[in-house]
Amino acid sequence: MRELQAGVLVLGLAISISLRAGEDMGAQFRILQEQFERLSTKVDSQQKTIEDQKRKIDEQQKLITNVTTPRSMPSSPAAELLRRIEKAEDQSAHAIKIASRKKPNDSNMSIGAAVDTAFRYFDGDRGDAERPAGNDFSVRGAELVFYADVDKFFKTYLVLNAVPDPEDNDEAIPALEEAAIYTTSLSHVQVKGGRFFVPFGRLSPIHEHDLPFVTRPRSLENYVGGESGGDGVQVQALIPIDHFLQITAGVFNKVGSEFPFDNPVPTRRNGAELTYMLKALTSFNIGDAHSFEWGATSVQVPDHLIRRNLNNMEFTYRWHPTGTDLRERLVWGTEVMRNEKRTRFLSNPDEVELGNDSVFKRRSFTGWGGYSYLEYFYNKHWSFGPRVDIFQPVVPEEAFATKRTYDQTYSLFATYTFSEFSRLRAEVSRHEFSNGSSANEFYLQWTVFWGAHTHSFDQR
Amino acid sequence: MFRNIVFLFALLFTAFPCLAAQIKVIASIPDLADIAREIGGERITVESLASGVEDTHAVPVLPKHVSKLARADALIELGLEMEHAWLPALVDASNNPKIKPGARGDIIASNGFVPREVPTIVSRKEGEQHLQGNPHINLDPSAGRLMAKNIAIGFSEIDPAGKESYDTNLSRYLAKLDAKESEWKAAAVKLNGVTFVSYHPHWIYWADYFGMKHIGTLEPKPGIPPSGSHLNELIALMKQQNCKLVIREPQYSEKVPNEVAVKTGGTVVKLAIMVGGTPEAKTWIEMIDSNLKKMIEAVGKP
Repeated sequence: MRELQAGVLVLGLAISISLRAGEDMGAQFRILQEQFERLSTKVDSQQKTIEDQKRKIDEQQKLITNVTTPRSMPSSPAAELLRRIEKAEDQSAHAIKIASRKKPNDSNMSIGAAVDTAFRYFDGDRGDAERPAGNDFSVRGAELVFYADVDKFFKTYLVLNAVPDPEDNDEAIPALEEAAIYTTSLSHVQVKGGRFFVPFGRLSPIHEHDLPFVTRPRSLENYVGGESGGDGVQVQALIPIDHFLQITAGVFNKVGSEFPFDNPVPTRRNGAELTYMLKALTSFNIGDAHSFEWGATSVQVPDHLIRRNLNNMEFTYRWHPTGTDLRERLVWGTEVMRNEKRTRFLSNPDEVELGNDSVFKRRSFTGWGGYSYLEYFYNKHWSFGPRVDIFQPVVPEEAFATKRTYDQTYSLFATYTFSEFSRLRAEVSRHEFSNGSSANEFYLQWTVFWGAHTHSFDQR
Repeated sequence: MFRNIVFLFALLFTAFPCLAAQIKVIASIPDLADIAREIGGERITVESLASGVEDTHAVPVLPKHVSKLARADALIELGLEMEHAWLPALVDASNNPKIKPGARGDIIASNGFVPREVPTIVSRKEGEQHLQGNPHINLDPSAGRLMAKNIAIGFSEIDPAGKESYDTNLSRYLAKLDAKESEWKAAAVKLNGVTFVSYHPHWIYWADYFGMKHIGTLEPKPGIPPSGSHLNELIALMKQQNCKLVIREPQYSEKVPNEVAVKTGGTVVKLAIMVGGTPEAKTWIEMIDSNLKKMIEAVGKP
């Protein structure tokens, strides 16, 4: 810019010299000189403005350089936050992977246990009870349960139960109570095989410690033989309709007690000596609060010499009130049975030693029996109710002696449930036996569970 | 006559494909049934096993549930062991391989949720524990999105032909949730920092979402009924923290919550823990709406 100013000055000087050289051009020269001076002033002013702007631009550039230089500020807060979130997500994903990885033991079976202990007072004769009369503490059962998926197609479970033997100083030796495998991949059908509790009626397939009361009804003890264990195979089908209809059919060596009573282990069992079972179960509901279930089961040994024909009808009503404390509920369970057994008996025991087979006679014995109970669950802790149990004993000797009279038991029971895994239960019973005698019985039972503990639909 | 029979059969055969086209879905709780209805639209039929007034951990095991499950193409469960005391027995009895655990038809609505309160001590003395953490995510207003997405993914796997429809319905439902969440957040400003107790630990995700403080439960441990000593401690804590709000879930008796409220000068408010738990909670969104409204009203009381 200074060069421009100098150039303008030189040009102006040259022009003024040349103008002075001519007399006629003097006035024009003065005009030009004035114009030149004004122009020079303007150029000076613009030069100043330009230099001011240049200085300001330099200052702005310095500021911009300071803002964008990494040494003065590493990055924006948002970018840093994003980076930290990504790192945290990576770490948590990795931690979840580690926590959820399968360990070798994950393939092991689930294990659960139950211990059922009781105090009993019985003021009658020992009668048909296995335990002594009077005061008696006992571990009624110590059970180990194992269950697992076998593969994609089957599940399995195994139950070992140690029950004390009063004849052997209450020695409790574990025995195989159940060992079964069943299918999981067939639509609407389940096939089960092995040793397991056959679903005869309502309470026979339930383990002793899972019953709603301390003792199993004596009608079931007498007709079924307690728990309805059997070695065999069964097919259970859920009919694919809107209504619940379940059909179960099976074939077993036996169901429940040994049958016939005094039969030795057969050297060869024909098809007619096996036990066949058929059951149908259905239900309906009235609203959400009331449900009814009823079913019928038939257990048959068709052999004409040792025939067994045990049939039942079962009925269960459940009340689940809605909209209040839903721990409150009620269950009414009833089962009626007809039991027919054809077996051999000694017509004259004195002649046994003679080896005369004609002393054994065969005859059918038929009896009716059943039980009914109510259990009211007041809240999560307390439940209680009454039970009536009546049956005609079907034991050859008693059948002859009593001529179709009944054993009757009237009970009251109350349960205090500490949690899902422990409970205390009391039961008082009055027995009226068919032989005319009577007895009172009191139980206090303490049951605990630990480890894996599940209930199947059949045990609801 | 013959022509009538032929006509009847023809009618049946033409009707069956329409019926068969719909996927039969069973949801463990009504919340999931409602969201499934939104996602599945006309392509599905859905029923819930629970009616909404039960304890989510103890829905009665009824034969009618087995029949429903036996014919289901899909089962939607919340997961995180919420239904572990009742649903596995029903699924087992249904003999339906389509919905067995791990099958394509077994849809877990909580997949991907990171639960809180995962127990550090695993012991029965800690009550009825859920080893995967607190499962009550259906009361987390922000979990609606996850449940809906998981259901849409599950439906698309079972019925790939309907994927586009499920995705469209999902987008629509998510947009509805976005709008609702803005509304809920705005309405819940009054709840920020408010302390409360409940009968069972149903509300921890709710508290997080609305900036509330859940300071305790009437149960001493999950699933264990209230004891006198525990209630005394809880009442002392409530007084110390000036806690005036007691939430009563519908399946529990009102007696104990009322006693606690009287002793602390607080208010009892009955809130649904599932759709159908109260008359206003007809859908999942309406359940959150009505619970929020009741809670704000209770907090506003002098």
